[in-house]
Amino acid sequence: MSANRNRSPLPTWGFRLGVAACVLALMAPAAAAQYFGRNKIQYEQFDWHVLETEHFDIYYYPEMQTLAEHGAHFAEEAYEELENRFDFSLTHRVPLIFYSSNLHFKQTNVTPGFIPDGVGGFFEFLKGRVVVPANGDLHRFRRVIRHETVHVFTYSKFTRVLRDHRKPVDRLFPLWFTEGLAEYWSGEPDYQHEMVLRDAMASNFFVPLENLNRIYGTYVMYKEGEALCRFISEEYGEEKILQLMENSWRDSDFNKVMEFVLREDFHTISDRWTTWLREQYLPLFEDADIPTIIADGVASRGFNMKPVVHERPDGSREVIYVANVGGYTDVYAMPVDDDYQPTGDAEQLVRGGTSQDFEAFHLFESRMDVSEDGLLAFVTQRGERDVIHVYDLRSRERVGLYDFEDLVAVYSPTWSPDGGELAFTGINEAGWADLYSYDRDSATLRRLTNDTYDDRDPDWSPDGRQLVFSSDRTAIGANGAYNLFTFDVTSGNIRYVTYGDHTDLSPRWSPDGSQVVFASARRQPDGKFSAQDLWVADMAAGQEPVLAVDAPMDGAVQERSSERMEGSVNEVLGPDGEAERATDGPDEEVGRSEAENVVDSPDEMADGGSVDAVEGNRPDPSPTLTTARVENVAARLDTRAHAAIDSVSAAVQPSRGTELGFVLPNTTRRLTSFSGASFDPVWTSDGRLVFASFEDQRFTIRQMEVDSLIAHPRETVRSRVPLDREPWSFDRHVVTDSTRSFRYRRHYQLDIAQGGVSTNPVFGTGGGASVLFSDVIGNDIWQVTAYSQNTLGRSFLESLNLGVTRIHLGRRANYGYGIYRLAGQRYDRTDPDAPDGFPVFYEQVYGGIGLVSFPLSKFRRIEINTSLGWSQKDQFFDEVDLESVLLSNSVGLVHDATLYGLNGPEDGWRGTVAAGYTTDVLNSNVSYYSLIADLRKYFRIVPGVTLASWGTVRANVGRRARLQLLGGSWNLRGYPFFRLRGKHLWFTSHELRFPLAVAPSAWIPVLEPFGIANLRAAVFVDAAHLWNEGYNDVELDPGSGFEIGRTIGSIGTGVRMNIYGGIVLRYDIGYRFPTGINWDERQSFNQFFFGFDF
Amino acid sequence: MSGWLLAAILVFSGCETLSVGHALAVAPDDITTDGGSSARANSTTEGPSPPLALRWDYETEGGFAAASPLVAGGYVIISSLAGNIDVIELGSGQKLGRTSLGEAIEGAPVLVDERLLVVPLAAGKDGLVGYNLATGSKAWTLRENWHAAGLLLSGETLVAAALDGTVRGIEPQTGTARWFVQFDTTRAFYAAPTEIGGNLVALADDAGGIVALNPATGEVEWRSETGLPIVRTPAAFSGRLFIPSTQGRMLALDSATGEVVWQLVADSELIRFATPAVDERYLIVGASDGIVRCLDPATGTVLWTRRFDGNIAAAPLLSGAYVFVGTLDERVVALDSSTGEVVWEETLPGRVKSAMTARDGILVVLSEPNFVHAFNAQRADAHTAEN
Repeated sequence: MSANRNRSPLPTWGFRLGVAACVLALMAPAAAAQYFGRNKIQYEQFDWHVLETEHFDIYYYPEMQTLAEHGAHFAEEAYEELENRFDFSLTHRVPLIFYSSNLHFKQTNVTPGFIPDGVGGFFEFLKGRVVVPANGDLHRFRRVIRHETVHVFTYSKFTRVLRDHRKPVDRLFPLWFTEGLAEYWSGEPDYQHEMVLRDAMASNFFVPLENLNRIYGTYVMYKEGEALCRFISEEYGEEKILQLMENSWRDSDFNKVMEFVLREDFHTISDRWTTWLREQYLPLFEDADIPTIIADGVASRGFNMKPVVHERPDGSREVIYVANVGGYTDVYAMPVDDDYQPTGDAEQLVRGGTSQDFEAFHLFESRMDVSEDGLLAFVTQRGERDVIHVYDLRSRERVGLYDFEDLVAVYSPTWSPDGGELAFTGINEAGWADLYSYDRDSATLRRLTNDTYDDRDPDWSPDGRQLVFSSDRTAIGANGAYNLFTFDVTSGNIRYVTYGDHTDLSPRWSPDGSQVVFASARRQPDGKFSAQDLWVADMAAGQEPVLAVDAPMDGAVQERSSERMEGSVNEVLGPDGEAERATDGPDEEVGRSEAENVVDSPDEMADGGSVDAVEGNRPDPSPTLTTARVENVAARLDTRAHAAIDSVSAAVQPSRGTELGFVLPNTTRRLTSFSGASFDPVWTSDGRLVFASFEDQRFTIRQMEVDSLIAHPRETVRSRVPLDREPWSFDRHVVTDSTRSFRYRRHYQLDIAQGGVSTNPVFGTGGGASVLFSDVIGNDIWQVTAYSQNTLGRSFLESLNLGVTRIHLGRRANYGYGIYRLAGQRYDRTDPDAPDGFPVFYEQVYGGIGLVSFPLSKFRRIEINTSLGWSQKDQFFDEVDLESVLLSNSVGLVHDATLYGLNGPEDGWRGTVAAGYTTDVLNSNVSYYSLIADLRKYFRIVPGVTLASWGTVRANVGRRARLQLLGGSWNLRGYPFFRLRGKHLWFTSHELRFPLAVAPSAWIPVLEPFGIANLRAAVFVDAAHLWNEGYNDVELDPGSGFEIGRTIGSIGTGVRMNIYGGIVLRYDIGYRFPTGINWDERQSFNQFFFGFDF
Repeated sequence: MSGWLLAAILVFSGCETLSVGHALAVAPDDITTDGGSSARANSTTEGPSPPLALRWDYETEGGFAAASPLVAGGYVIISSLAGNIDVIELGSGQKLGRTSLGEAIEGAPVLVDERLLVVPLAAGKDGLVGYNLATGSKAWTLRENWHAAGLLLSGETLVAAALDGTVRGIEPQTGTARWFVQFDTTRAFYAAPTEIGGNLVALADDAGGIVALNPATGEVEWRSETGLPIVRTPAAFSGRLFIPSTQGRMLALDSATGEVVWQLVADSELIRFATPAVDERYLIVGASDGIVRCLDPATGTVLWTRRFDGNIAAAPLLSGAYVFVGTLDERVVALDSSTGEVVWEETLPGRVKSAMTARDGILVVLSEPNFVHAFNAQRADAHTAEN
């Protein structure tokens, strides 16, 4: 593995295209218009393989085979359970497509859309495919597979119930039920579920059942849906969940189905649910700390996370954090005084989401760190991988960029005290998250851990000897617990800091290295998680450490890891440190743990039971590292023993009263009792905690003094580690039969088939069909279209249109090609040969097309189009026949870095330049150049208010050049759609867009049933000039009645409303100036159309 | 006039009628109720000997519930979730007729005599319909309560358990209620009533309550609370009531007292047992874990098990030396009832989630989405409909 310092932008950037539109454009033998849109880039050429299990076809690539085998086991495990829960079996094999990391997942072609951070996976209806990334966390991987498998069952069962009852499949379950059930049947509520629900109850953000559509699609709705399913199960019986599905045929209104099954009025159900939740949660808030009361705000606008503190040599300081304010995720610096009160406005240091280098921040996942000399280290996605940026906070410029070839994802860099090294979490191609350290001077990368555990959020100790980090390598990690550990940089020993059924996250050292502050949610006796509070762990030296069982270092460590003892229990101390309750044995048990060495071989610890075979976990082969230390790690891996599930389960069951255990030297204290949650605490040099807080559904940066909190802790705990803490692992579904594990062979399945027939007294009878095929991975798409427009005097074959197109998305450069035959009457106002008044003629064209789209980055691409076609036109009005063989080529550069709102772009800019040449290679009747330049800039004045400016120039120059069109609601407003035409044009438009009602369904409830998602308005001014030969040669277009050769325009205002989040309706009124910009010559107009803002 | 004629053609062109045209010659061994008998034993001596051959296929409209088809007078009577009743010739698979009652039929109808078929409806304005097969007309309707459970003719009384906890004793020829009992309205009856001997009928609800009552009077003889939701029809044999629950337990109750005699506890509480088949030798039950279990009906001892890929939601059919099992992975299988060995199997177009029926050596199987299959023995010397 190599690391590149200050690596310059490489020509390996990317993206993909909206190809279908381009294909259509290319079928016209002229320079094509360019289309906007960002690029979804296939950076990797995945070597897809298939692993067949009993019910799933697992698609994976060899680098992640071990993960895929885990995933296969998880899928079959879920199937076995869900087959019972649903009382249903699937009769089709489920395609399950795995990616080893989120960054690979983002490249999937299964869905054309962009996948943001935080999407755990998805199920799509077209082919019933499930797509899931792993990203280092096996528990999460397992849960998401289960979640999506619930979706597969739900959809299959639901459609079966409807079809059995001969009901049209014209409905779906409400999203709260679909997603809530998927979460509910995926496992116990996790700490995030509790966080969201607690806050919703505490902040009165809770939305009752009858209004759940108000929070449609939000994270809160998912969690409320999960709680609702749990409520139904606990209060009415688990059987009712299934009955809701089996009675779904009764009514398209799910509320009525609920009333029937639960035997209660809908509002009674809603009321009972609310009460049920309040009874659980409100008592928790009696003694709760409200973050906005006990901690002062530092940054509260937008979503704010990952704070760090930068102290200058002059003593001034600023809080650096990542925030999403209005759509972009940026790095901000908030200047603060000695009391950490903001002293000015936050300064935006880095803008994310608009450039190659800062393509995307991992807002919720990756911390930042500041070195002693003011260097900020943070991570962004940059093309196919994450990179670490080093940003000098003193000079306000980036001074370093680190890109690690074998690491796909990078999280949470931390500086060594001398600033010479950066430690961080890296995820390799195989999908495992381990700790790495990068030496800036020698440019070498060390892999510190090498196993299947999820090691997160390292923080370097002030003395430089240890890293503290969070990991599921804890003995009860199989349950999903995360505890804190230290990694000794010299010896490689890993030691427990905390132990228990917790989610201990984001540790940071105190400045003197005596304590570690962290965020922790802990499983309560009732099975639920506590709030995610701030805790500190005493890291005082001189006490015997407890070695983590799975310390992946030398043999001695490993041997120590295998002692077997039973049970664990936390020792809870009072504020004075005296034991109030201690159920475990004496501390001298420590000696026993050190004395007994039992090494289990992998064979001895393997457990059978899967369909083909179940093997003990085997960490993936280590990628090649450049340092000698790598070999050392690999050698250790070969001898590691891994426990089978059963033995782990035994280990995690607390055995009350047992005297076996290992008391950790680290006393931990809970500092807060938050109603919501806290994240990413930082201990400043002057004794404050700066952290991110979740309250009122908002993430804010807050700070408070730490000394008083430590002096009066809410709780003091000393944990005890069980001595039979063996390495745990999940089972794998290993297939050795080559007929069930093989390289992916592309085969196509139908995606869409549609057809239709129409009859028109003028144009005759027409009909046709179009079918779309693609492969399972979504890399290859074939489209076949055939239609005929039978007109008087023409036979079926004379008017038959055929087209076959293939589009390949499996490489970085997307390409497509096709052949076609177009025949029939055409109405084409761009054709210079068409009659002016009624541009209809008969034409048949045989030809082929080709296109390549090469993404330079997510925001920029080059498009190359070519077409060759033989054309014969029969212009029966002019009694002229024309024959030509048109060759048309064009090349264009497209840039799009706009931020989209519901109605269109709100910020950023996009533009294109393109040039093309079209010629008649048969008779030289046609020979013209095409030039297009188009620039659109969006100025966001304040959130929600945007000034949009657009300027474009287009020209077709030469013999029989095609004409450019203008007019309509999408460009020159006040004029009929595409009724103005000329060989040349310029056009400009300026529009101020602003909201009329931000949440119209709340303000005007009557709009809600119509799906009106927003209500906005605009004032605009448009101007254009079209001409053919001379710029000022005034000509009358007999087809439209308008004159060209003079500058014309319009001014007006309009309203736009988005319906169901997808369609924008537009209505404009104003004046147009068709005879020149002259107020006295104005003509009023009104125009209704649909479409997004430009 | 022509307009009225056109309208009439448009209105009636899509209608279908069901009229046998004569009384059915119902024989004592005919299958006039779900499960083959009032005890829902799903046991027959009329089944074919495997290997089997497909005799005919028939396609109806709509899917099928868990109940078995009826066979009487040489006809197969099929009800569907789309609300249709189809009558097919058992020997040939020829359609005799079809009628639509307009609403889902989730519970099994019962053939009261050679003419009257009483059908439970799960939605709409009617709850029960008495349908005269001979004339193709409704004899009576009961416009109360919806029924997802099958009906039981016990003596002279038709017992109907509704989705709102209501149980009625009905005079079958007129639809007149003889008695009426309202149990807990929050509990629904999905399982059909079962005759358990001693002049008692047992009913199990979806909250785990079981009640035994006198079908003539509606008087409750005993009640039992299992706490286990019961949505599949219990079977009775020789003084035992076998209760399939949804929470991994199969119970055997004393029919006279309601006391638990034995219970089978599965590996997981998620496992859902289907209606069993039982005779003096074996109690055979499928479950959602894909396992067919053969138990000693007296003791609950597991004699053998056989695992299949798909969930088993339908009652097996015990037929002498064989037991026929339908699975949700689209198969019908014949097992040796003494060992559980697979002796024959066939893949079908869809899931089998309904109980089977056998008569005159013909096995009738329902599969998704809407197929009726009839199988008979392949061997010439085997028992078939022809011989």
